[in-house]
Amino acid sequence: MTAQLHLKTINKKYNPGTAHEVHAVQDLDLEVERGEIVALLGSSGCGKTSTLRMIAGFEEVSSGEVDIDGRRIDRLAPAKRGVAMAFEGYSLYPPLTIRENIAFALKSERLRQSEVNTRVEQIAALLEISDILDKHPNAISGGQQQRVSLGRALIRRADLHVLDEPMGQLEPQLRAILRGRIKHYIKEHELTAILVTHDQTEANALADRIAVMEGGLLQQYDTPENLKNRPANIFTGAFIGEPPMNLFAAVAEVVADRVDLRLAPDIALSYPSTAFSDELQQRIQQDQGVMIGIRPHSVQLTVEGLPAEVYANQWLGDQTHIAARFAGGSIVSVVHDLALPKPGDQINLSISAHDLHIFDNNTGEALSHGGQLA
Amino acid sequence: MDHTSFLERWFRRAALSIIIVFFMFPIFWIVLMSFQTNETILRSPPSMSFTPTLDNYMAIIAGRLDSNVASMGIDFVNNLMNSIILSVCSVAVALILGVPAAYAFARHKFKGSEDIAFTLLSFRFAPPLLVLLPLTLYFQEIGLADTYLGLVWVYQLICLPLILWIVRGYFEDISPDIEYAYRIAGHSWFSTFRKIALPLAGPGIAAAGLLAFIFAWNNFIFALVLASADKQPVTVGALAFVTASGIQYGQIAAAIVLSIAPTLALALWAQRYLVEGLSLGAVKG
Amino acid sequence: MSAKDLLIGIDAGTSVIKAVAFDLAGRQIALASRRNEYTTQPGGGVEQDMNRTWRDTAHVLAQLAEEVPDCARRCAAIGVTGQGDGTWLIDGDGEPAHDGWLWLDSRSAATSRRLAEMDGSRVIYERTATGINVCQMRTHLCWMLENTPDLLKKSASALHCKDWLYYKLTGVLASDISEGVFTFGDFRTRDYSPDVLELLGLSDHAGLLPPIIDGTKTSHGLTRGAAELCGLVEGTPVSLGLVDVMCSALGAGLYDPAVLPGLTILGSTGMHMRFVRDADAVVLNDDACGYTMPFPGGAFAQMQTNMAATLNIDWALGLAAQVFASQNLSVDPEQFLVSMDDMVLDAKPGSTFYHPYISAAGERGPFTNLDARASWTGLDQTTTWADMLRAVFDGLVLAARDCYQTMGSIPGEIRLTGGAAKSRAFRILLSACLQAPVRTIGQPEAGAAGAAMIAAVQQGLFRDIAAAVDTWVTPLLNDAVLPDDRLTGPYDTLFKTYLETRLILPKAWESQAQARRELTR
Repeated sequence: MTAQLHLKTINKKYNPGTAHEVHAVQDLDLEVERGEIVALLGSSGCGKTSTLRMIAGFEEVSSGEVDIDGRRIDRLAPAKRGVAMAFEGYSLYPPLTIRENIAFALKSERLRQSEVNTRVEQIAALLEISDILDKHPNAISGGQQQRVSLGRALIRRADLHVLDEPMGQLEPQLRAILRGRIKHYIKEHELTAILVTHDQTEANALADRIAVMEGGLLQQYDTPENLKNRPANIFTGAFIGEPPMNLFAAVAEVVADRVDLRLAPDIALSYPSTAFSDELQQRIQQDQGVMIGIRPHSVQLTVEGLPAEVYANQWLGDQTHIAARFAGGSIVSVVHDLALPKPGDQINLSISAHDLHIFDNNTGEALSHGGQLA
Repeated sequence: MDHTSFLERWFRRAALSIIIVFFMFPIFWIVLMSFQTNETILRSPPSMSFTPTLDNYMAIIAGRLDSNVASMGIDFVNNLMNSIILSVCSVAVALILGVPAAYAFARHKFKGSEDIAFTLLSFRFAPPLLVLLPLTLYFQEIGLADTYLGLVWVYQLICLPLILWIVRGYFEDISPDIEYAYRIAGHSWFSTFRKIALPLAGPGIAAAGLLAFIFAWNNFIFALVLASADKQPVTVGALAFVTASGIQYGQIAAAIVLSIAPTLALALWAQRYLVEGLSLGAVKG
Repeated sequence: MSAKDLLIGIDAGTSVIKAVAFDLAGRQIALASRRNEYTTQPGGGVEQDMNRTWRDTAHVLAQLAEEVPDCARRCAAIGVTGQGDGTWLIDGDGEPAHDGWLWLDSRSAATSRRLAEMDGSRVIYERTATGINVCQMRTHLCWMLENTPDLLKKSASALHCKDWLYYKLTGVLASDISEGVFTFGDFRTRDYSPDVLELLGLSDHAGLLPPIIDGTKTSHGLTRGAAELCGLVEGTPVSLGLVDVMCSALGAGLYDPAVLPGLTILGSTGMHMRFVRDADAVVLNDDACGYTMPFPGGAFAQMQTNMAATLNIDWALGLAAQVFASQNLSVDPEQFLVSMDDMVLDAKPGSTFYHPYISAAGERGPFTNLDARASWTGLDQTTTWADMLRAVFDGLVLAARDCYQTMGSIPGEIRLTGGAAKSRAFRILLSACLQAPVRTIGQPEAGAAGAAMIAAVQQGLFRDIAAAVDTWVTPLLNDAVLPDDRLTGPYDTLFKTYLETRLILPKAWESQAQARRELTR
């Protein structure tokens, strides 16, 4: 299968050569397969929107190459790229009705009027905007405008669909309904889509693969499952997941048949050495110290284990987030039980070696997940 | 909800009335004067009671200026035509040149774009006399003096910066994404400019065009220096009423009424666009 | 003189034969029904007296005509549907050549296996987009060709249940676009495929197959004889509906070209359907299983069936009841079921895994394995009864996901009917597992409604099926149950394990089946 979209080492610099130079995107390599949905996930300013705009042709690529199906497009006018886009700011055309706004995206496909009408009505029904088709953009709400903008992109049969924060303005209920519909629509019509979002839930729900970006650099490009279970570095580990991963500095001590991860002079996580592969044991012994990460869902409250003191808990209806003082820092655990420790209670924690992520203290790169080298 | 007190409303009305009287009275008085003879105008104390006469208008349209001493020819209608030709042509040229330029300055930041834009604006800063003397010499040299073409060219000093800077602001107010959305749907740069940017900036362009027209119409100094009698506009032509045998107030008044009539009509007609254009901005993104 | 303001839908199902009267807006006015009867024979035969089936149908129609004032004259048109698959042969005089074979008939199991494994079977699958199985007429005819050639020789036409009723109502021999095409046709041309008939070895008997008609375009008038029998007016237009599952799909909200929803029907058996906008969007699978049935127009429904759905829950609760009974305790079965919702929702998912293949006939979707059997795996001493029941519920929703995934991507919205739709727990779990909103529909007679809608379109009361759906179906959809974000993640994990386990189980099933055979010998 050929790659539908291929970003080859692209860079974006704003105000190059001046004191205000901003290196917004650095050496980004990314392949999106045909029929795949990819999310660019990151906080604002991470370079995700610049990337999107370079693909669509509204920003020039400072260096590198953008290919669609092996055809280089980064020098082409936006109209010639075969890309459809939904804009975060909606960008509806004020003098036209909603129907005309959506239909004008189809002009280049030269369809019969009846076909245009059917397509517009179907996409409107999909996005629950059938009732406002004959209104003008200034007469509808922001959430509706966003859906119109989305419809204007999705109605096309472009080589690539780029969606900039496609559902940011929708109310949660509608967002949940539309997420599934839009994903199915994209898959059914075998479209290739790349979307920008800062919302993990949205990225997980829609995307086949997620590119996590930060500071203009691609941190990890992987399936939602691997991002959660096999974070490539401390950044993705801490960024993905709610509540965030617990991180502790630790020094590894290999003694006889045990491996101790010392978090504080008097506190260490102790495991039989069989829980760690030989290569990993060697590796962590060499390092002066490592960073260990534990997902809150993996921190178990047990009868025996390491002592911690609860200082807060929060009941969320079906799960509880317990925050405790532990090893000179703080640790969060998520439990489903109803019998809850109260602030001030002493609890015991245990963490299975299988749930342990170990990172290099200097580079931040992941060394291991669950006792095996990353 | 109207929370203003009675007093506040009363003050507001009074203030508005004073302003209206202040600005409208001269116009009102000129209109009155244009229907009087020189004798009734110059009586002291001035009085509102008189027998209206159309003589002043007849004289101006007929092109004969009769004073109590002599009668001389004056081609006021020709001056009016000159004003219209010069203003319309200048604004048209300024729009054709200025709107695309404004779009370019608004959308495409290129090296030195700000400098060029500022230079164009700075034409408005210089006193006209500063450029007039060299221009007169050059124009005589290359044969542009006393031609419509030369005048329209010089009038660009007035119109072009105005249109450029006002319209640029309107283009900048349009969200670029609206244009991107159109371009990515398969349309060219030019059709995007024509189909999206121009209509959206329409009220702004109309407002700028109207202002430029009024400025061009009211221009005096360029035409005074560069135009001879048969090319001169009304502003210069009005000088002819100051004759050796006295000032023909009634006829001057009639001439003024006739010369402000086109701009006034235009302004009234375009009022809707002007208000929309100048106060609202083009589109809220 | 009263206006024609009624439509009648006939649904001749396996368990009940019904006639339902609707007004033009799709509101149910009256219903008449009668239990269906069929006989089970040693050797797997399941047959039904064709003439009695017709008499029963005429009887419920007459009953309906009696119940509704002035029914005969108000009736604008009739739509007819009935149980799918099976083989109903008639001779040249239009009389039954035998007792009709039902889809339940398993005499041709060996033939089915042979056809599925022969060289051309992939081609047959790619033309019909429907996997070969023991229920279908094509399998039955192949079996008859080998075992009872005389029966075929004296037959003039091979019909499905609803085609037989249509023949008795109008005197016209026809089959519809759904059963005609998915059994012997090409889903791209929507007509019989000579290649398929050739590969099945049925080319010489192609004459048995009646012409295919589209009930939204063609109708025939009620014959005088039928009219008298049913208490209706001669000449009342009758439309041949799609097969019952397709009519149910129409009535229950699968047809929605905008939303492209899925429809899950969870009764004792399970059915998972996906709306497919056109032939290009049909997804074929490697296991060559499931059905693809055309709607009038260009769209299709693709479906995968589970041999057992709520049957699993009935079985598990029955098991518990047996335990109570053995201790001389009794439980109220109704109360027992209701009390489970909260218990299941509170239990811990994933403490054990259940694969819901409890039917003794094995499983058909999304894979075909007659030896497949249910199992709980991964039990330990902490597993509670609630956990085990939760696993059964989870097993059903995971099986649904398994089916949808095989058919392409999971639809953006699932419409749910059948007994399980009544359970709140089930709606919540299904929504979380499929990561899609789940909507139920207030249409108890979806099959009859679907048949009546086809007749309504033929009568020009609606521009097309979509317009009929807008009036008859969309207003009945209930509010969506939205996926619970806290549960969707866990279900991804559960599904991965469910699937991996399911893929290694066939070895165990094979060996178990072998053992059973040896032990019963």
